[in-house]
Amino acid sequence: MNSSGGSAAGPSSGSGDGSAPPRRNSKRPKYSKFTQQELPACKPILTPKWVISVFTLVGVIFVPIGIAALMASNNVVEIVDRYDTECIPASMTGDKVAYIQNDTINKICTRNLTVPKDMDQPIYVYYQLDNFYQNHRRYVKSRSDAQLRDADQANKTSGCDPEKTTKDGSPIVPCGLIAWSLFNDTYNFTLGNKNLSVNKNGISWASDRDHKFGKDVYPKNFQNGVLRGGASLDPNKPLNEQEDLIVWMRTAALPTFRKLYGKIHQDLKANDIIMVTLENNYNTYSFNGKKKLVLSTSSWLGGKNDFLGIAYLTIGGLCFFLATAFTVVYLVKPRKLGDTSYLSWNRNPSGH
Amino acid sequence: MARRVRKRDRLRWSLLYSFACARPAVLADDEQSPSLQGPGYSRIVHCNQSQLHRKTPLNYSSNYISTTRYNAITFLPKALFEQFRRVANIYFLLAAIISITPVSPFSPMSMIAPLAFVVGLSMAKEALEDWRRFYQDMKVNSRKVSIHKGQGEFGYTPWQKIRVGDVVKVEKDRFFPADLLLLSSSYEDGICYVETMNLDGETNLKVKRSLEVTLALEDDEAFRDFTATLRCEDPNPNLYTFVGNLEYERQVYALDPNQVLLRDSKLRNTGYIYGVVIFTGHDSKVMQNATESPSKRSRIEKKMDKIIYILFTVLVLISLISSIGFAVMTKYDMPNWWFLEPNNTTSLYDPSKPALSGVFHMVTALILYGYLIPISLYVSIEVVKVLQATFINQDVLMYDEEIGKPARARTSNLNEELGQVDTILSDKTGTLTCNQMDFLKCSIAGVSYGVRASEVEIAAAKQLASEASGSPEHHDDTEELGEHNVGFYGTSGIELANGITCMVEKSHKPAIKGFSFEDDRLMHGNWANEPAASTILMFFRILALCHTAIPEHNEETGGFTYEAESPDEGAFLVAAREFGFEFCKRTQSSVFIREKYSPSEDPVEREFKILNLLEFNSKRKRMSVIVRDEGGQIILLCKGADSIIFDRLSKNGRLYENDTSKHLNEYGEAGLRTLALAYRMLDESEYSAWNTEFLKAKTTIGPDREAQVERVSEMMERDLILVGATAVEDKLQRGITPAQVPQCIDKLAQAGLKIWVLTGDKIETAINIGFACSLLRQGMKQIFLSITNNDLLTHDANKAAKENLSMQITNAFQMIKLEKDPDAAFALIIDGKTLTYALEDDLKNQFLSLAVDCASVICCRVSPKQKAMVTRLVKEGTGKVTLGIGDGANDVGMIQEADIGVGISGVEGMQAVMASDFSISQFRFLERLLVVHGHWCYKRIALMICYFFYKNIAFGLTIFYFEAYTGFSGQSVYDDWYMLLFNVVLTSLPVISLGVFEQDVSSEVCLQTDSPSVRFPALYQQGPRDLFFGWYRIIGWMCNGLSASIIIFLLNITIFYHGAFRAGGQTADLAAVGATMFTCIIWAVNVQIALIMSHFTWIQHLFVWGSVVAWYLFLVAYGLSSPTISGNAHQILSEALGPAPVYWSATLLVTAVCNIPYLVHISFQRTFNPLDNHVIQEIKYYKKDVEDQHMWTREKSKARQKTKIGFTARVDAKIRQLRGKLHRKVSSLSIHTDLEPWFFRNRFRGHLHAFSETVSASMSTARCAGEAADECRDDAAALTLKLVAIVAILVAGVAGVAIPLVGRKRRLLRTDGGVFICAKAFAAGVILATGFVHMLHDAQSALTSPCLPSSPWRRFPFPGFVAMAAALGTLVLDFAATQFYERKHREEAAGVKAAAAAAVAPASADEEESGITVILSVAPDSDVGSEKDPMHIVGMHAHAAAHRHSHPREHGHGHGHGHAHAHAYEEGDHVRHVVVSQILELGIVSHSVIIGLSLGVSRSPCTIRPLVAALSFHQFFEGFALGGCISQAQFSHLAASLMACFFAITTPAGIAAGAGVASSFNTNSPRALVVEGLLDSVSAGILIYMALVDLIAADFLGRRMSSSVKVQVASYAALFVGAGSMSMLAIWA
Repeated sequence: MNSSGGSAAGPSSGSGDGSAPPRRNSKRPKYSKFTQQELPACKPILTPKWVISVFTLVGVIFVPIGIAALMASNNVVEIVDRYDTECIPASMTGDKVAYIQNDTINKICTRNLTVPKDMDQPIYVYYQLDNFYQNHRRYVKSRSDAQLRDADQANKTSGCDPEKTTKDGSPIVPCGLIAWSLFNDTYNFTLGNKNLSVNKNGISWASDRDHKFGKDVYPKNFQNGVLRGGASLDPNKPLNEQEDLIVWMRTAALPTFRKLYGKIHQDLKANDIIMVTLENNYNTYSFNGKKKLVLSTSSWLGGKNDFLGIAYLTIGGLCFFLATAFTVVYLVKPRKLGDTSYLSWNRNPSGH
Repeated sequence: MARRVRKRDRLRWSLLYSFACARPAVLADDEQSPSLQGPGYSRIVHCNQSQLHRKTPLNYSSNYISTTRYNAITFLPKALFEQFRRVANIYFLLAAIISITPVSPFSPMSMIAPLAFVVGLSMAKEALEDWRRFYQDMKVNSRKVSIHKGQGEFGYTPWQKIRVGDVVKVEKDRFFPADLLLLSSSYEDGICYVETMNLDGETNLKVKRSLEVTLALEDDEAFRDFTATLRCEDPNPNLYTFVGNLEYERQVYALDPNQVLLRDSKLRNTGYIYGVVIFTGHDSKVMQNATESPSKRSRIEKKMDKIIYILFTVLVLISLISSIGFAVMTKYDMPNWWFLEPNNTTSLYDPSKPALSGVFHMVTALILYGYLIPISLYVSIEVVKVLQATFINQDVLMYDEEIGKPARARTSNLNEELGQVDTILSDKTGTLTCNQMDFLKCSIAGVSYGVRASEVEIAAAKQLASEASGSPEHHDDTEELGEHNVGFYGTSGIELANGITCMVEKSHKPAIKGFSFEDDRLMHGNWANEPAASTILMFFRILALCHTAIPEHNEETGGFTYEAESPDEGAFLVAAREFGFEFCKRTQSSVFIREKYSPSEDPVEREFKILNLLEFNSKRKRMSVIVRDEGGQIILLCKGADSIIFDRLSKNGRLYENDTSKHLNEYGEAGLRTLALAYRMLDESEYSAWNTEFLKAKTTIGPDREAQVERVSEMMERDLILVGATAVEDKLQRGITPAQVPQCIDKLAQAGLKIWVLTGDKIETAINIGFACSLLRQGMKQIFLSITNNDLLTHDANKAAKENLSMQITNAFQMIKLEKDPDAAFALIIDGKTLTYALEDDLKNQFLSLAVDCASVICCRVSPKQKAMVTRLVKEGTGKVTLGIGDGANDVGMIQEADIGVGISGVEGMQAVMASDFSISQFRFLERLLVVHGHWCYKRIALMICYFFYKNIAFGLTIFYFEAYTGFSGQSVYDDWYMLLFNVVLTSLPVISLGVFEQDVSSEVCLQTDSPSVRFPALYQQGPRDLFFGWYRIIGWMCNGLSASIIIFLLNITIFYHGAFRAGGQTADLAAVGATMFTCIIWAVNVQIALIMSHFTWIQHLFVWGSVVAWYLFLVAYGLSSPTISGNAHQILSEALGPAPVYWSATLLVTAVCNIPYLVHISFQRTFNPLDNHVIQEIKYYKKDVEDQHMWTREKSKARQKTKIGFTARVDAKIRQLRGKLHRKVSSLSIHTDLEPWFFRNRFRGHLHAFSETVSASMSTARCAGEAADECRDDAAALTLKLVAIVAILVAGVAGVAIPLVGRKRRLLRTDGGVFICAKAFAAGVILATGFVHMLHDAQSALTSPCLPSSPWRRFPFPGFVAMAAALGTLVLDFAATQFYERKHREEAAGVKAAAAAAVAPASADEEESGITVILSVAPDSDVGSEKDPMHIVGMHAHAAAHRHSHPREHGHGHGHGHAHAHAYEEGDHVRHVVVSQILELGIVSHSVIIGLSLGVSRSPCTIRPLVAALSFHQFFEGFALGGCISQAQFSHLAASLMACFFAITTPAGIAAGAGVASSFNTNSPRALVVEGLLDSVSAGILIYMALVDLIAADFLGRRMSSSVKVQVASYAALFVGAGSMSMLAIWA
């Protein structure tokens, strides 16, 4: 590929010229493949064969992935129940905010969920919030990782506006809006007469428990201000055991999000009716947010996600189509590779 | 006395150094010569008392020089200032400053670090360069020179310590440390020889003479007591003047430049000199002369600035959108978001002051979206350019073995400009020739001697020979072959004598440098036998005596070599030596010559006393010596330009005049430089009388001395007797193989470059060089523009000359215009005098357009200034890139003026090189520099910049999209670190490797010389045509970036929407989504760059894939760092993302999807419309060139640009001739002013007559081209308009849709009363007229063009048909989309209903006040759906009715707003509004795209201009309507904003797409006409449909219209005015 150049630029016969003093050669550029831009190189070109095979290959890879993903997604059984509209006494529907802000009203609410298909354990319990801007800049920034990690750094609340300190100036642990607005609805499940226990261990990332939330950091001054946000924390449990908080502190990317509430280690049969006793504490009525309870199994791909499979299938199909199209074009109107009649000077001879 | 003074001074020095300046001057100034007191003549130098110059009144600067730009203290501020003069850097600086405040969306670190890196890198480069300069300075400053230290002792001192007034002793071959006054030299007569190569580039030696009075100071001891005072001019840059006087021993002596030795010149042939320092350091003339060459910027960079401005506009626009969105959200939604504690905020988020928050957010957004502007672009380009320049410097193929100099890119700014050169302006002497003179011929006593042919003759004859054989292969044949050809130069009418051609021996005897004479009649003493032997003897004596050269004894050979002022003179002396008149010794007063009349004799040494020497200068154009021979006879010997000498001949001296002038013409035509020789015998008395006068003149003090001397000289140089003439050859530059220059010119011409030659030479010489270089050829029509001298009064003469010239130009134009032969070529030849007129303002454009039509242009006898002016004319007149190439000081102006200046670092010294941007050592390297390096650099930089914008748009816009999902709060989805690394680390190296290493085709394909002699120089044309950096390209890349950003964002968001992404059930948080998206971006942009590259060395592989790997490595490392640093990204890859198949499959999916559009595009292009480089790549890939030699050779010859100059053109011309297809007459047209214009016209009529037939025959084709040109069609202007349209319509749309959304008060919408409706009606009229009058007409004229085959196109009214089809199609589309949407909504409504039914508890209505349950709310909705169906069917029949539903936009701004409340009450629910607004959105969006498309494809500014206004208008109102509907529908803010944004971008997107479609075909081909015609018809149909159905029918037949008579009348009027005025426009369109 790079045969030329070496010979042309090799040891020259410049010294044969007797008149040339030796000093002259000192300015001669040193020959190397790099400086002469002659490094060995592969120069792939996009021939129709390549085009067709690339598209086919993409199709061949994408379609199976798409099918696999779709199948995985189809195997996932998901129960979604929106309860914020229902778990409100008929008398209070006119002023939902007043209802939710009134601590004296009993917020217990019961829902019956029918299992559509068999669900194998573990069954993940999520709560889903809608129109909740956990990704708002003011919200995201309002936390202190240093404080969460290290009991000695409880005073590091600089980023936690406006939930930094109590009125008398002692730091809130954990500080910041995120922790302050911790989700506080609770769910209890019963199947028939049997209580379905919800395992809340291991719902957060292990690294968060091990490295990010200190095992000797205990909540302090939390939720004792004038404004009450969300849930309170057990002041006797170190933060790294407060997994609800850990999950909550992972701010979601979108205003609609699910967070893991717990796991049910029990298989469910189709048409089982689960009774959920829930406490409808969390105020989403102010901002017209929806609250949903989600029970879902998982596949190797995670939760229900038809889109990924469909996207793969679509792209795979598109690539097959393109491959076919190019093949047809190639067969109908082949352009000989390196066909010189396509050179600009041959195509419009006058148009130079 | 003097000594004592000095002693005291020294004492003082040693004691009181630091207070010295406070001391009063010791010596009072005494009388000064009157001429040296004025301003500019105030310098006083106390010789040998330099200590006086360290004190105030005379404290001149030291000899320390510094050329550095900075010093240790100033570096930081100055360099920073330089850096922040760039707009982009200022922006980033501001961003960095703001990033410290809480407004910033990022941590300060992530803004400051990249800026610091980028600026630091640039500054480091500056510092390095400056350090190099400093190092050079230090080397110079510390050179040693011997200086008088007092007491007659000399010692070495570094240069920088020298002060004014010091006496220095400079030894042989050393440089002068400062400007010196020569006191004495090792020669007893005080002369010395100086080489001034560094100053003016002249290699010859110059003689300097000291004053007589100072001759005595000839040894060290003599300076013990020496004092003198010198008064002279102040420091100035004038190298050739010096005014001053010396007061020495109470006498005043005048000084002239002859006594001044300038810094940086070199002492030669002289043992040593003593001198007094006059000017030191920066005062010296050479330093005063040092000016920085003007910095030039390449076109690509200028265009890049424009792109950056566009991006800035986009940035501001999206920031505006974002901040409006934020303000709206803050005001209306924020109070509900209790989790943000809205009552306890800073002003950044204060819901009670949304405007203020919006303003703050604007700043945030400007920083946040700053990633649109690539921060590292400038620095990357700088790095790339430096590396490219290194490649140029390192190219061994551009290294000249003989001179020992490689090519140098003296600035790296212009690398890519090299790939876009259109016109080369070349000097002749030294550029095309090598400035080495050979004595070749002479004419003595009317007989021409010398049989060897000049190189020009050989080259021309050789090419003629190959012309005859019609094949280029003979081109390299031996010289002899060519020379047998006779009768060349038909045009000039001179024939090369048969006999003299074969004289070149095959075995050259050892060549004597400077002497190629060959004629036995004169050699070996044979001249004595010639009839005019005495004249010949005189001839030889003139050669040997009339000069200023110095002989140098050569120890080895025993002979003499000569150091002469000019190479010609050297050649004369060599010639004289060979003829037996060896010049062997020169003293102050005498010249000694060893004369040898025959080879056998011993030489006789004769002494000739030199009485006077009348020097040569360019004004006199002659030199003379007056000698007294041994017999006491006084003779004046003179040599000079023939015209000058011939004017001064005596009556009896004209014996040989006729013959000689004939010979001179011949020599001139053979490309030789000629001089005439003459002599005059003088009487003793006559001489002495003259001599006294001469001495008087010479000793005159004052400025008129020069004139005096000249006048007196003139008196003597008359009544001469002509002896003969000499002809010296200036050899063509040659390389390894002969005739490299013609070959190079040939290839450059093939690459489509135009070459102009600007030379100071005579017209004949220039023409012959032109022939030799293939710039001219036989059969070319030569157009001479010249004005002969009129003896009229100056004013009249000027005017007359101008008129005359104007007429000549017009005539020549006519001739070219009417030339029927497409292969005919014209050459324009113009001389300097004519050029002065041609360059005047009123004529220059005429002249330029004539010159552009000619294949080659030769300007003779031009001054340096004219060279620069011509260059400017070409540069500014054609707007193309010009390249000036030259080697001498006279080319500096041209080199600096041209877009690119190339200096040839050959023999003539360095001045041109110093002013140039690139230097090469031979003309032939220009080919490689342009065609290989230029082409590559152009492509690399163009690709690189495009890619840069692509990647930053792809990245930056994702941030913007995400904004919409965060309530426009300014939160970025990416970690600060990712963003920091994106530009600086993760994507910078691949793009740099693209910029440095990309090669579309290998260099051998670009041109190359040897074996399969593969060359496609025509590929070069891709640069001048700007194929890779045109606006379409740039916009294409930007669209690619846009699509990539959308794909990356939407796919990721959807995949990670809310479900779990892990088998463990975890859901994705902000950090996970961000990291995944960023991974996708890294993959997508790196795969993209891999797709762009066509040349992968291991370096590219390393950088591209290394970047991807580096990202993963970073992510792992970042994840491992403490959570206080990494935050939520802690262990993100290893724990969260890595094990998740979704992460990897998302990456794969996004990467593939992002690159599929480009892949499809490039595959499509390569399949159907391959570029030249694609085809050639394929050929090379399949080694077809090896298999199919024939094809390869054929293509390679075809690949040449059709060229009318160069060797190839000659061959082509010959072939055509042989075929006999054309009956071309060789004609040369010489137009002189004194010729009757009639004469010209008569000849001209002859041409006319002969060609008339063919002209009429070709009329039909001519009309095709003509029509296309005549129409109002200007793609460039149209494109600009389209860009304007995109922006205008975008703004209008955004504004329109934003007003009701932001306002959300019905009150605002009330403004839609009369004015609103009328304006809309007007717009409707305009659109209607555009469709009917403009578009349809354009389509008609395109499709009925005579260039199209009549068979399908003129037999059926396609335009109308297509327009109808388009209108119907739009209707169907409209209907289908509406149906689809409605059905979807019905389904949705049904779903809600079902859900509601299933619910046990009563549903809560969203609006408290309405208190309507879900069940109730669903019912009317389903009713709406069912109600609509029949309406639609009706709608099919009655547009107006249908429109009310399918496009309820009219509800929006019509009754929708007027009766909004009524509706609300009637239907009782906002669901209705939801449906309405969604359908409205769909309808508007689809038709916006189409309207945008139809604007985009239009190519005539005349149609676009009004359309832009109308559409902006339209868009504004539509936006207004839509905004109203959306706000009524009370979507969530997110959805509302999305809908609004989507609406705003569709029309611009449509325009962009349309522009893309329009650009994809060639303008003038039949296919283009068809495509254009069809597109025009389609858009006509769409516009008509839209106007009639959507606008007019809906409004005018709608319910609302009937409400008010006033409104009715007004809108009808507006409609007709709109339609009428638009139609009127067609008169001018």
